Amino acid sequence: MTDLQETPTAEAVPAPSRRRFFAVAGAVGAGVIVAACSDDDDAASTSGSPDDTTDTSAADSGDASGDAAIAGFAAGLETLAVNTYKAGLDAATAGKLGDVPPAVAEFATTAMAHHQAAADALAEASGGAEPVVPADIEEAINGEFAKVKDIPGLARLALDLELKAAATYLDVLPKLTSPAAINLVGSILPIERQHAAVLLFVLGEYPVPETFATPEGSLAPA
Amino acid sequence: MRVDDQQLGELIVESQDLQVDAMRTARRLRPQIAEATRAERLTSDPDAVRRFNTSRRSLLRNGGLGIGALAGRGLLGTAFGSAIVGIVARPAAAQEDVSIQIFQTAASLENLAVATYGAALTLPFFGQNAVVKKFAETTMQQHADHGDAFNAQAKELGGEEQTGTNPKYTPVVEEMKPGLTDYAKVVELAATLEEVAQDTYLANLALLPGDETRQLMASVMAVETQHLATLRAVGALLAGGAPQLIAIPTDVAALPAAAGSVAFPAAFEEPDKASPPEEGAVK
Repeated sequence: MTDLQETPTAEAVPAPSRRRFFAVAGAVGAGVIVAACSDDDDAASTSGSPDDTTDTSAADSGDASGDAAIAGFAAGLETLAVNTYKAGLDAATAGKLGDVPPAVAEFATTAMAHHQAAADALAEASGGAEPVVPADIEEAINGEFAKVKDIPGLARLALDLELKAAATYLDVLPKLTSPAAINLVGSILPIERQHAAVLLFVLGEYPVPETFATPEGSLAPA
Repeated sequence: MRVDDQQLGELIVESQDLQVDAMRTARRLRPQIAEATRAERLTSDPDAVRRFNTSRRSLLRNGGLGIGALAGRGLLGTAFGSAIVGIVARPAAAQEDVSIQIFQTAASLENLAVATYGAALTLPFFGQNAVVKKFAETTMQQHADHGDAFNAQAKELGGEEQTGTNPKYTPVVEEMKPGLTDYAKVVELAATLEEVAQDTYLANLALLPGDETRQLMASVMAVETQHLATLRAVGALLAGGAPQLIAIPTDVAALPAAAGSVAFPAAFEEPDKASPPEEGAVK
């Protein structure tokens, strides 16, 4: 348990960089998602089962292009979250949102770094393309951001974004086919929900209002 | 301790309404989930059974849970990593019960969480903070609902309900019980159990071939991780000597800066405390 008296800053958060993530996660990366069909690692030789030589078809290995496309879409969502938090921090710094509590500033800085790390990992998972923010979703979020006049308003918008991102991941998880993609998305989903819990607390609401999370609110294309 | 009891009560009622809705959704999904998975797993077509089982091993081996990947994620020496290597190595015929084991072990963790929060609520000091008490009561009920969902899934797959608590962590909880003399110690224990559950469900995602089955696991994981985040924040406020800020609504302006980041120490969750599928399986 971290002691608040340590007052960690955003810089103290374990660097959520793409390099760190892939160093830690090993195969949970982009290249692996794309290469999953052909990357047969040494576990096969451990098995010793005759079946192991027969189950490396593309169908068994997963639809890499589908996983990559989903990762690319998710990278766009994460980039949108980064842009939104950055705009919020800029507005707060410019004094446009009134007094900014230290915990809120810390939250926004940390969450933005998390979303950037997720965007980087997902972009690499999609094959390295630059994340593209879906235009209609960006327009809707920008429209909501234009209405933000204070910190509670910004927190409400951030909560909406976090919950929609989490719902999107919950929606796409069953559609992913490679463990690399499942693990990557699965490792990001909890972070969005953790952000949501703190935002609910900051907004004066119960931090865990649901017994089961649902994909309701998912932004994933049908 | 500053607590707006009326507002908290309204929020809890609202939360309970949401729980009822969620349970309704889960009940509606459960037959579909079970049917989809059972159709894959229990089909009388031997070729289909073989495809299902080899698919799991192929998933594990090809895309991220082979030995190299396990080592890269620091899981190779863990119980979970050993279990995965074992699953990959099993012949097809011996793999059919893995999904049942996954849900039984998940239920064992939920049962232990229910028992632990229940024990905490009997501690003499536990009623001093209304918010913490309500959190424990609500969270205990949520875990009970999760356990029911997992057990229903295990039964639908042809397995037995797991009514017992997790055999690995039950002795740990029992050993810690006499030392639970203040909120901070209870919060630390609860956070550990929540993290084990979160990590286990995260690790299970790539082991479950059924789409809806995987979604149920992710759905519960998403809630356990919110419990964990809340407990991390509460624990930090206690450690920082600011228990008065554990309130709904809280005084946001008075929160220390670290309250904005302490609940999520990393940009990605890693399943380093994951329990292997057979750990809490019915013997």
